[in-house]
Amino acid sequence: MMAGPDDIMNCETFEATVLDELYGELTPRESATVQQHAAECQRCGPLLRGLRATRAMATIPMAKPPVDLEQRVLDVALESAPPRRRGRSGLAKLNFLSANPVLALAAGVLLVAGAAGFWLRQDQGPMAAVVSSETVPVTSPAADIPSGASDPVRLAEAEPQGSPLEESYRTPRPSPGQSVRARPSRGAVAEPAMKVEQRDRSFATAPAAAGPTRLAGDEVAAMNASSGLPPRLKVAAAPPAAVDEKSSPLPRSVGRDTNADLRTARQVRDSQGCAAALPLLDKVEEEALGSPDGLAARFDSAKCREAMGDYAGARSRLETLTQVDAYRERARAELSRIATQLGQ
Amino acid sequence: MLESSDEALFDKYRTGDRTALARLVRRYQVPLYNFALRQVRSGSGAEDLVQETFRRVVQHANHFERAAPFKAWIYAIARNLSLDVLRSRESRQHRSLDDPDMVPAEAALADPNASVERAAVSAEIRGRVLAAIDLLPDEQREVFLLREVCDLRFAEIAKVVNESENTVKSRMRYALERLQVALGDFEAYARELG
Repeated sequence: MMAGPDDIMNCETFEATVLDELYGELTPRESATVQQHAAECQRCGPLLRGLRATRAMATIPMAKPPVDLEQRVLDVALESAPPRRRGRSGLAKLNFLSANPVLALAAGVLLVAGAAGFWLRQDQGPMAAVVSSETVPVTSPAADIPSGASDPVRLAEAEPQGSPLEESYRTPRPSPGQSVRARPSRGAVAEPAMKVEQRDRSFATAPAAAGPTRLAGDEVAAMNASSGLPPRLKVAAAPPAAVDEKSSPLPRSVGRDTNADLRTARQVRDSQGCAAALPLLDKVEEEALGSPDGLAARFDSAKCREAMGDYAGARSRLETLTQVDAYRERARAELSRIATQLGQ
Repeated sequence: MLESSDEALFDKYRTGDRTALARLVRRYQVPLYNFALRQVRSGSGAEDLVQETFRRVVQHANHFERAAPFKAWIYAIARNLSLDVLRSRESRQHRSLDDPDMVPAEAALADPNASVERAAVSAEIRGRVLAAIDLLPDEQREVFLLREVCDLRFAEIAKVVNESENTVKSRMRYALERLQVALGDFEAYARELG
């Protein structure tokens, strides 16, 4: 803030620091310098005293929220929590593998390769070969286990009446005792802008967010055919080039490995957040205009912007995607959701 | 016992500890509610805004950036939501300063221990203060509320409103000057308080 207490304080520097002084953001020495100037200056002294008086007078009395707000907030928040990804227990993994020889064989190969890698890298220290589990994304839908079974936070009992807002927050989960408690009627109309329909369960599992280990459709079909997995657990193929490129209004350019860039951008999004990922997504979008990767980047970029409150940016991207067959429905759904959020 | 930081609690929640989220709700519901109340000027609207803020916090938990404090993040969400409400209201031209919902909120502020005379003056000042805050331009009001109600530092407010710290301070200064003019009648009384 200030360079130091020995700096010459004048009216100009006082002006620059008066708010910091008013709100206690100066160090004691800086504050003493400011106060000394105020005590000696006929212009700055009254200024500081006037601001202090105004601040004391304009202290906002804090209203008490309704007593049940805390529980309602928790109910709504936890009801809309995306499903957590949890690892299987060790025993479950073994059972799973023993029932699936193809996967067991693949796991064995990986294990041998990992052990060899560890042995070869021993000269770099024992931790060099340790890979964080967080760097290995779980992409199987079977890994999504809805949370809430052993909820330590007691959820309120359901009540029959609920405002349209709460109704819109409800999820179809039928578990008794875990529904959103209705807000008591206050005779007031809730802000339409806050009426939000149920959103995706997880942004990370949004339709366009294909995992980093994409397989071609025929590879997936062969794996599923030989695995003996029940249909629920079969590996899903990466979305095929589902874009009707002829109908795409966007030009197509061929450049670098934009699919790798897209994967990187998504990893950054999942690990560091949308603000860090947006420049990467926008770059992929620009470099792969009109291609499946470019369109996927555009869709992801729109969702990130929506998450960050940049609805205009999200809308402009989604509107162009409504002209692409593969994204039309999803883009319209997102646009509709934004419009609902904005009360339009 | 030391209070856990917001970030530590949020990390706990992200690893499955829902009681950590409950603690965050308890910690933030009052300032969030008051910020929302003064922004959207409606009790039910403020409750909705608090609910929606935490819903988004949970939904976008994986997108929380450790580079920014949790406090700035949650208020940025609340601030964006409040702006949406205000924009939506403006577009419908339904702006109203005498929402009946405000009555219970204001009634909750009365200090039963105050002397009759002082309470009367305080009530009048309170009414004038709230009216003056409501009349501040949106940009000044949000900065004023983030500082006074949410107790954010100027650097944190700058992140929330995506402006420079100097711009934030400038808006705060204008807000205080406007309030000074609006509350000029009570200046002598205020100097006693100060």
